Amino acid sequence: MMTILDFYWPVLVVALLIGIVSGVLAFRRRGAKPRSSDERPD
Amino acid sequence: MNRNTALAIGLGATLAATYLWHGPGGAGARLGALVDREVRTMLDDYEMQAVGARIQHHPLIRRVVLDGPADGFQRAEIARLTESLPGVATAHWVGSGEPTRAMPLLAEAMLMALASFAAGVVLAYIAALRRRAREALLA
Repeated sequence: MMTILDFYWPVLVVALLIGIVSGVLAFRRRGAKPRSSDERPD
Repeated sequence: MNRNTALAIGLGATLAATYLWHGPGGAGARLGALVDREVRTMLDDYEMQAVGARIQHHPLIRRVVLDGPADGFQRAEIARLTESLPGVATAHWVGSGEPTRAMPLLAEAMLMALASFAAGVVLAYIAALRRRAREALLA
């Protein structure tokens, strides 16, 4: 297994970065939700 | 871009990058050449120059195919020593029945890359959870 990692570690680093970017895009907030204090009458 | 689209594009990019690194990038060929060289050196050290050894191609598998004159004891020991070399999954003598099943090197590399991709997604998810929790506290 170590030999595979020796040859393929750049791909694993790239895959990790792609995963982070995909995750950031997938789990980002879409539009601000109204806060609970905004809904309360004064 | 919705959630599934972002993850699907990332998944495709990961698999494409792995394929490009393995094939056109030459990582698979370099690993195969290294294994061939190490097995050859080991056989020469044991004065088994008549035994041929090569890694299996089409598809590239970390299985060394052995061929040549050797008795039963030598065959078993050479197979055991070959399998102990780094980068070798299994060794198989020509004419000794069906070889054990082994995964193509490209599939192994893709599985590792997918695990790395999943780790990146989990990190981003944890960061998103932390951000949302902080925003909820400040709200």
